[in-house]
Amino acid sequence: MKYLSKTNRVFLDTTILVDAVLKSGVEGDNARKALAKYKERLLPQYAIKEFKAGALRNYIWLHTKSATLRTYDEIMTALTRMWARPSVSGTAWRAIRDFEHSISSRLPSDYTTRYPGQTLGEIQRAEIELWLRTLILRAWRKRTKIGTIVRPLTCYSEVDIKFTKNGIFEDEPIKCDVQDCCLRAPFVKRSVDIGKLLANFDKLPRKKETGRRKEALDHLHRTPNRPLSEKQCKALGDAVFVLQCPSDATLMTTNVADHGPLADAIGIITLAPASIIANS
Amino acid sequence: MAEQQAKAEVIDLSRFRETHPQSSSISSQRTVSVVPVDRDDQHTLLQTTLDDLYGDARDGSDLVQVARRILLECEQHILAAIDAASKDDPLGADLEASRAFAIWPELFLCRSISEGLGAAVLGIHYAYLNAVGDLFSNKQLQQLADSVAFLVQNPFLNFDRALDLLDDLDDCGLKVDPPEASALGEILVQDQ
Repeated sequence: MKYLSKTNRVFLDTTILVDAVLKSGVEGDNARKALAKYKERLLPQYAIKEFKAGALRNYIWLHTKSATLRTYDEIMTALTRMWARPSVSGTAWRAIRDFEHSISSRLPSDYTTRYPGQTLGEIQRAEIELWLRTLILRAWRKRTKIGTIVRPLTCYSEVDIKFTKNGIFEDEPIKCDVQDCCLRAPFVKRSVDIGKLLANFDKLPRKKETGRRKEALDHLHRTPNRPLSEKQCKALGDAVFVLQCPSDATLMTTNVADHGPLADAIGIITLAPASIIANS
Repeated sequence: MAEQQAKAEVIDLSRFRETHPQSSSISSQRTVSVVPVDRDDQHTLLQTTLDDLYGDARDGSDLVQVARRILLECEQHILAAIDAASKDDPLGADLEASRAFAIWPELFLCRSISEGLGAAVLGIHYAYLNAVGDLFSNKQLQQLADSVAFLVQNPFLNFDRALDLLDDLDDCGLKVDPPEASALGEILVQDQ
């Protein structure tokens, strides 16, 4: 199979971790099917750090709302206020607001008589709270099952999320809180490769994130002895996966547009799950 | 080790069973000396079952009794579905599965029994909805039957154990998240 790496190894970025453990639709199915094509699956700890501080934290935010607000309508109001943006389809908003598949829409007609004190709003609130708690805990547990955790970050403590007696999650720490990121030492030894990545930046999509990534790589390239801040480490993003990916592994990501030009610069194969499934 | 003496009120649960000839009067209670349970030579194990504690699941309004009644009824329907499937009767199998899940949602009203029960009830509910009318495979029906049987015996379920149960259902291809999970993913997961 020409699209699999020579050694049948795959290196995962955060997008694949998120899809594989958090998503149940087509994206999740594709990620899991693509992962199954490889014998060796490598998950860098940088992806777990990004996952915990990013997507997982967003779900934890929503769970906290579901645990502290009174009704489903209030939760939806909070969700809309925080997350409304042009890239989210109206269909998605309608689906989550209407919650047609809620268990509350299939209760016996006389439930208010037989179970006094349980209102529809509270039942829906309890449902979303319980389901989110389940989803978050299952996703966190699954992170250790989708691949071997590699490339440990010496400045990051991967502490388990905790469900407290107050009924909410604690997810700290999500940052390293160090003055000099642990990635500086191994990356400054890759000066030639970093130079090649920088040379390909004009092939990347023009967005703020790309600009910040270039600045961080420039910092490593031009001033290798100066500390690499946490902010710069975070800005490195996709470049971390490209630099950490073994040369004989495929880098799997849903974001080939951003990874591809960087990976091409140093001969790393980058593939999205849909491509892997289609071509295997 | 010195024997520790204590007093305890011992109630013979067998007197609450229908077949027991004696009446359930307070006067049948008695006090005895209690010894540590690791003294095998003196200890008699009194096995207490959920039926003993909560009575016959066929009647009664206690929440645990209601939940066990619904669970038992669902289990019967799922077992009937397995039987129909084994006799090459897909319509019968699907009908029985549908009957099980028609009565299933009421279990969520019993969620105060345990959070684990609530979580398991939701996951199985979503698994049914996500099937969208497709027939469950034999493996899936068996896993559902095993899960329901487990809940009958373990309604006081801790959350971790409920997660294990949901993982088992997931492993046989059942989707235990609501269909709206995709929409929520679109909202909460930033452009990647």
